[in-house]
Amino acid sequence: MTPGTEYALRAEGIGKSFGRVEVLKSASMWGESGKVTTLLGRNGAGKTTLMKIAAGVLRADYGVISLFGDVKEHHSLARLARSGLMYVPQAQLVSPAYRVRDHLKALATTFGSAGIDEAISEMGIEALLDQTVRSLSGGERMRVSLALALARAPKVLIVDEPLVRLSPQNQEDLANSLRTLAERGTAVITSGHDARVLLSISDAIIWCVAGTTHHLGTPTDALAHSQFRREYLGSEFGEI
Amino acid sequence: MDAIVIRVLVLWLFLHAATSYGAQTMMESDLPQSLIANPVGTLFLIVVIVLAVRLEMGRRSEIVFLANLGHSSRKIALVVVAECLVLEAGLRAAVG
Ligand SMILES: Nc1ncnc2c1ncn2[C@@H]1O[C@H](COP(=O)(O)OP(=O)(O)OP(=O)(O)O)[C@@H](O)[C@H]1O
Ligand SMILES: [Mg+2]
Repeated sequence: MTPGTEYALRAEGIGKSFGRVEVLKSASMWGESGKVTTLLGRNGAGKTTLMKIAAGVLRADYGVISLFGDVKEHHSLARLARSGLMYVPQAQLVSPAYRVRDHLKALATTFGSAGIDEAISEMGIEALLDQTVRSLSGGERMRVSLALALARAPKVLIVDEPLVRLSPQNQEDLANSLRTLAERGTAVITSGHDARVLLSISDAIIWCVAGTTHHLGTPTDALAHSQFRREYLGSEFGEI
Repeated sequence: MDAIVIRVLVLWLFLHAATSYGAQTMMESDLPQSLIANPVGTLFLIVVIVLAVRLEMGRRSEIVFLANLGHSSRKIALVVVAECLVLEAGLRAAVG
């Protein structure tokens, strides 16, 4: 962590066990306004757990969460959301039973309709508006979720594995949308395994390993980290 | 406040209330009076409705979406309870 920087979201010294399994021990993550921060790590490393805790949908055993310097005790997603956070889970944000349009309408009712039309065209979901989410493919659902995020323009966006199940071109488009959101001032925190795309849009890399986190710095720094290369990227990974 | 939440809740409420009251009227005899359950019955009914709404929200995976709009589970439960009380009061006024 760089001293003097005001972090949008900070989760520090987080510990969490499920029964006797200790998933996180003293893990931390933080997001900065205008930057994309990416959590990388093997399956089961605890990325989703850490994001859920930071988003207030899961309670940590110990650790501190703060949003713009305010320590949030007993925080819940609903409360954090009122302070400007948005969380897109790994499963899905949107509800299968409703149409895409209903979600956008609900968002507009709460946060105003500015940016909705733009978000629709940016994510190219015009044709999906009257379909129920149930009838959409996995990739389309993620595009709808991202459209909601673009329309909401949250101060902090936590989005878990946004690129999963997307085709290469769609991955690139979606990654660029995350980048756009960051350029508009949002602190974007993301995760995934599509290392090449993610490294190319990120400003900071956090490596989750064995229940703890290593802040590797910029993607360039991360690529220069020999242990990270060896243990996460693998020997075949070239340059980005 | 939030049209969608209210609309959905009202809809569910009417459904759940209707079935519960329906069951009650089936079991007891004189129709108008049987609509009014005793206080314990009313409380039980409200608890059942809150749980049913909560379950339905989970099934439709809309809890996270609503939380992202700033609606906590507690707030939604309160809205449901308030709505039940209003309905109940209305019913009592109508019958008694
Ligand atoms: N509710 C739960 N109960 C018990 N164990 C859990 C629970 N949630 C997660 N775990 C365990 O915690 C560990 C970390 O899970 P998590 O989902 O955070 O991993 P991840 O890094 O997101 O993995 P992936 O890359 O596969 O998404 C896993 O071993 C998982 O089995
Ligand atoms: Mg995960």
